[in-house]
Amino acid sequence: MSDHRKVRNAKPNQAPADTPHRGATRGGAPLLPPPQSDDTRLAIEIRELVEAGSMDEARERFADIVSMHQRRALRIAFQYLRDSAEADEAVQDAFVKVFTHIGSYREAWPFEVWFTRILINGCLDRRKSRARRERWFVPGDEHSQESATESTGSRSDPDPEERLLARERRGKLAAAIDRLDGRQRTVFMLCHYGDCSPREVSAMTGINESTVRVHLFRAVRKLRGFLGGKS
Amino acid sequence: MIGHSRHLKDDDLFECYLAARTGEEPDPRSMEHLADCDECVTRYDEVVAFMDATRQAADAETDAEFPAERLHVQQQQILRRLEHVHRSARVITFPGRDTLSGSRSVARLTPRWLAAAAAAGLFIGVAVGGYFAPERFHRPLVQQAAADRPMMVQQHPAAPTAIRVSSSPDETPADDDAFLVELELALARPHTRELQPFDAMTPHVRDINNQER
Repeated sequence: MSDHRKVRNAKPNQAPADTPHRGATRGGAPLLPPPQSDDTRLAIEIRELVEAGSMDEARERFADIVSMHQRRALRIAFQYLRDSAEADEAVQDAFVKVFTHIGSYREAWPFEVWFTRILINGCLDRRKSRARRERWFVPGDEHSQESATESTGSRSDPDPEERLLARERRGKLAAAIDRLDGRQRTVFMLCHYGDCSPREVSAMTGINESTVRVHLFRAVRKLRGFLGGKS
Repeated sequence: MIGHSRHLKDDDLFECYLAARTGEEPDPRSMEHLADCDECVTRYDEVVAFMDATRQAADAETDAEFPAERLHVQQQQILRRLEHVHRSARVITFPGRDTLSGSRSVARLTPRWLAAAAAAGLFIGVAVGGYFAPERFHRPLVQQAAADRPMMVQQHPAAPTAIRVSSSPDETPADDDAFLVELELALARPHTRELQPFDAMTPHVRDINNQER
């Protein structure tokens, strides 16, 4: 759970201590300011539009950002929450929050990092509140979730046996990821499902980059062990 | 044995995988070793296969959960929610504010007239009622209270005669008391053993009357 606190403590508009623009080095490699990506440039543009009061135009541009990050965001949120409705809400909330606070966005961070951190914080909040709920209430019917997956998956996989096996594999993988230590899980999620580099994960979580690498390696080793592969 | 010790460790292999995925510069020594050692290449391939399998599973799952239509719906929902962002909350004006203009006095006059008419009607009704049926208004309070008491009994389902009592205004309080005594006796008749303690605890009208006498 300590990773949760790390992510939580870092404010979205606050540049991390190890941001590339400060010219710090990590592991011997110089951290030069990366060239601005498309989404970062777009985010800066939206911020300027919002500051100028052109809200309609800002919203139009923001739609591009949504389509750029939507799939990735859903992948992260769904793997984190294991519930499509909740993942849907988490992603929506993250985008709305980003737009609401676009004025506090600083280009010292790539937009993707900033956005992902907001998304992850939302997911962690939801996981926490879900755990709180499950302490008091009987959990709902999990079958509905499974059947929803099955029904939507039926279009791509015509073979029922293959579909069943794939579902079983996914279930095993999800259970294995759930068994990971909180910090390892976050690092694995961000690196593997969020397409973030260890350096970006370090910027998001405030964990040292080499520590991120160690956590990632250990997470993968554990997962392979849980899933019957090599540990 | 020496050859075996030179094999890459698992974390080195994983670093190679990470470097390949993120486009970082891989460790040259590890790359050199991988170029020569088939066993490490096999292990490396296993790492890559495992990582790819987990990623593909996640992608397939996300695709199944969120097909293109759902993504589109979500985009629309996000944009709809954004329409309310940075827009100050709309304050609905209270209807009273509009009456500051000339229409205010007109709007307020009607309720005043209504209230005045209702009060006048009530006053006239009371006065006329007092003129035509003075005995209702001049009956002593004790008598009034005594007349009201059977009304409580009247609600008892076992006493249909209570209606008769209240309906005849000429009856005296003594008659009322007699009726109550009768009623109590009638109610006491079954003598259910279990109810006797409660009956003993309940004050009776006849006892109170006896005390007064």
